[in-house]
Amino acid sequence: MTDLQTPQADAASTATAGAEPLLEAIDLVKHFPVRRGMMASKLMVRAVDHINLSVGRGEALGLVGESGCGKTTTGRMLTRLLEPTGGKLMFDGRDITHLKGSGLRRLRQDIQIIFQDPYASLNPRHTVGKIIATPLRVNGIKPPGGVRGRVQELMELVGLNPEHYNRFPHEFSGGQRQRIGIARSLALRPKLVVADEPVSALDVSIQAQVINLLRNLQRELNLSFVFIAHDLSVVRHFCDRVAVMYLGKVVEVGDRTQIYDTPAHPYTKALLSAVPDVTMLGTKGDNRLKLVGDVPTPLNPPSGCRFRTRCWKAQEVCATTEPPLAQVDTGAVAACHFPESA
Amino acid sequence: MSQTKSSGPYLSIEDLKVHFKTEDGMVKAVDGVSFEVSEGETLGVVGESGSGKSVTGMSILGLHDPKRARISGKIYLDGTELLHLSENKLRALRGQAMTMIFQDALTALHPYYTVGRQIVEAYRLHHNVSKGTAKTRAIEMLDRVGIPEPGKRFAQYPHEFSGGMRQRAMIAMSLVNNPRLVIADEPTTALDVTVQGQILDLLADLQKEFNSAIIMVTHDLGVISDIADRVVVMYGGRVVEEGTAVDVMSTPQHPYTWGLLNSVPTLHGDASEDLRPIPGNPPSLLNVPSGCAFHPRCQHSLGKGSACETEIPQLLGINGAPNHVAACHLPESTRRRIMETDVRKVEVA
Repeated sequence: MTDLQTPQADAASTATAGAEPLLEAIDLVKHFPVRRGMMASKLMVRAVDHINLSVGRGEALGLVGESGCGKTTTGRMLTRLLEPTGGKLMFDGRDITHLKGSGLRRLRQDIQIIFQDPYASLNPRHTVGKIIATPLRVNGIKPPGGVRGRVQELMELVGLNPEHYNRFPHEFSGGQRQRIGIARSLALRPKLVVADEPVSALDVSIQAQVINLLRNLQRELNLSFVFIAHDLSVVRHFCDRVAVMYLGKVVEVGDRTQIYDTPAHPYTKALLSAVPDVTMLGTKGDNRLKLVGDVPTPLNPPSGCRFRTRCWKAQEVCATTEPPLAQVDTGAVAACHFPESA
Repeated sequence: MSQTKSSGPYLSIEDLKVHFKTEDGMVKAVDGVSFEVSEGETLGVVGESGSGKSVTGMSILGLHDPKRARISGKIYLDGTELLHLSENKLRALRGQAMTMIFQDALTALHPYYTVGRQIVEAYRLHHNVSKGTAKTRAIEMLDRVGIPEPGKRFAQYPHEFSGGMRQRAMIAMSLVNNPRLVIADEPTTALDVTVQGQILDLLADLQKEFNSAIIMVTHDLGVISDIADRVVVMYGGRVVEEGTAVDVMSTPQHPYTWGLLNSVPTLHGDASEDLRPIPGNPPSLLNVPSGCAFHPRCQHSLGKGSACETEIPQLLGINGAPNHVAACHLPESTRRRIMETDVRKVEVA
């Protein structure tokens, strides 16, 4: 998988060309009920509201957006840590939307997750060897070379010294702990890894080490990735395709060049312009598009296009009609009545 | 740098050392740091965790417990030496002569008091006005930092604010007295990019209006590139490079600065190329490496037994750029060659 040429996607369906995707989310919904006071009100947080996504085999899909846009909830549904309220999730040709019990446990062998916080996601009382072996033990898998052999092989794969098998998490630095988490996620040879902000807790120099590690692993093992992050430049270095989310909706999906060089949705454009980048030396923020206000509440999202309350291009139609995701002339798909042209 | 300077810099730090005694030994968090900031100037202080950047900021405001920290050196604020000042006199300076914006707004705001009350308190410490006047000022400030319905928000508690709004409320509190020096310690790391942009713009506006000096402590080279006039790069408790933002970013002289530039992902350029991280980990401040603290991670180190391992390099000027200094034993010609061939190019946009 060379990452640049792969996804000449049939963009309108947001699917990769050729073979069927490994994972497909169709019209996926997650609503959380809120209880206020004594009344069991019918208020719903519409965390994820009818989204379509697909991840091809060996592809890295980036999921970006501000906090509260639903990217983490989406990730949790894709790994089936949460059960969708509506819609369908297809994995490897199977419907996994409402899997339970042993079926769900078997699915975990194929879909794994890497967490954001390398401190909170490792049991401090377990040795590294035990932590990495947990998925094997839970699933009753006896690898040919023995559990210890497999664990040490995994440690070597992620750049940890296999001799440190008996050490505890506190003896490792943040970057090394994240490597432990990565080794654990790979123990069952998954087909898909969902990484939720895997590098945002790390120092710059360490962050680059972990990004490179994930990139190499992806190539070597032909893994599929869903990479959830708020840092747009990190996503650009890791992902072939990127989906931009806003307030529970996917507003734009495209390959790397489409999203970063010719963003079509005004929100994508604003988001990109807000990133302080090293290459913007001496600009003093002059290129920033000023977005007014805050993200509205997902309890009661705006009618029509959800971005219209902050959009500088908004017109009447934006309030009345929700724009569908459709192909625009940049080649990406975007949900906007007045997309930017290439 | 754009503004006319009065006599000398507003803040000047000379050979600051902050050591903490712990059970494991002496933590040399800051070990001989000197720099200056003038009014109207934004100084970026960059470094990774444990580089001493936050500890430096805290010692300017006198926030370290004197029983635990051993502090030496000199800090002059507008001509007044701060390290030997009494707590009462420091209090009079905090908030107006100097102020700090913290990274974590939830711990910096008091959970039991309304946001408005906390801002009013900060204002009335320095202004002998009625509560009503102070309230008007506080609401005006909340409005300035972009909080919608400031009148209603004034009476709410911190937990009723979202993360971004809390951060803005704290910034409103820090800036309510139009401070002459603002020390912002990673003020935007916890925020979304769009909010981060708003806050960087806000700081820039206030600076234009009141000619304040800003020290922006951050690990994000993007933020530095975007807003700083001058940059101080810290590593292992010391300054390793200093100069104008344009000099440091476009002609970096220290191998650590090179490493930082090569390891940050950007929005432009070839994304298929691997990043080039700095090998190893930042040093433990309990046991800072001998000589140049960066030598164990430096790919260009002169090797075993060389000056890199034995001698702490001095901050020396660079030919042709008198205000650009770096602490590295490599000959300048060697550094120039490496910089031209092996370091990410950053040009003035």
